[in-house]
Amino acid sequence: MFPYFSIAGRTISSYSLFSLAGVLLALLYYLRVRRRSGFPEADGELAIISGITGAFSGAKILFLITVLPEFCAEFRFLFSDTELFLEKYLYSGFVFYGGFFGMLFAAFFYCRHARLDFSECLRLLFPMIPLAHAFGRVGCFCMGCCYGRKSALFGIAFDNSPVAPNHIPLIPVQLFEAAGELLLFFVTAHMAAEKKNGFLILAFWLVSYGLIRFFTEFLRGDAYRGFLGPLSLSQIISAAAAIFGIVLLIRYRKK
Amino acid sequence: MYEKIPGKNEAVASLVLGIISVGCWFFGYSSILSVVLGIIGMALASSSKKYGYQDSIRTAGFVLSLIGVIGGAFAFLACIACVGTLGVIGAFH
Repeated sequence: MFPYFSIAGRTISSYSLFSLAGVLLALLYYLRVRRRSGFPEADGELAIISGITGAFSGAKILFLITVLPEFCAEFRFLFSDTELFLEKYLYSGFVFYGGFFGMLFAAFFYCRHARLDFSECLRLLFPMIPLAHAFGRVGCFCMGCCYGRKSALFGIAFDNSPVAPNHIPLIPVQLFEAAGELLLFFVTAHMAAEKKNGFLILAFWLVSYGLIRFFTEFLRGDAYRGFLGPLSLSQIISAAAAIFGIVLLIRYRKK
Repeated sequence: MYEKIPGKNEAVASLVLGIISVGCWFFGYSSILSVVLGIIGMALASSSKKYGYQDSIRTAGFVLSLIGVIGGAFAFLACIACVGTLGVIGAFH
């Protein structure tokens, strides 16, 4: 597709562009709903900032866990080949689930610190996550990362991807996930507008996205992921997230 | 006698960090600094708002920090959702 483009002499990845477009749209959503939420404005901003910080940290920590043996073996290159080391372990390689749970914990601790209702915070801010992630997945498709298995029937061939094998029809699994996340955004935004309990919104997303991710992982063809037996790390986390979501659904279904 | 205005120090610090954050765009790998300083700048601007300080210094600090984060993230982000490290897989082998 279009992995890179140039603006004012600087090369920018389309992944960055789509991710940031998603984040900006999510912020627009927040600006639209914040007034009728009754949540303090400054606290809403601080919860978002805490969430972003938690997301970066969590996504990086989970990535480093998946490549821990390799990271330990190559740590000595930090001083002899600093640029390459930082490019490999700092500037690229983030895991979505790490970012998601990092964001959730950071927002939770902020609410606890500021003595705010975390359920209200979830109701106000949660729909931003599937919206931003949907655009991120479109960015993945443009880049060619997180690509699917070979399929002559449903496949789309990349011609200049720096990651996916070029000129081979591959299932556009990134777009399936993007469509699922966009649908989840509309449903969670509707639930928030209906003043549903924030934990119920979280539970609904955990179950729905957990199932989407668990099954779309079977369609993926990229091998450089963490695996535990026949299941990928993301599938194991998806299954755990879905079970946790069901527990929350049972607990909060009448609230 | 100097009178302390609640939130003003945070607003000024946010403006300074916002300016540094935008400045860091232009020095290659310091884009991560843009992101870190921009996030701290935004947090300070929001804290200032929480204290009730709503001056243009706070707004400028918030906007500059946000621009710093966005610009830094353009250079910093490679691929969040996947584990793949793009062109550097097996770089040390």
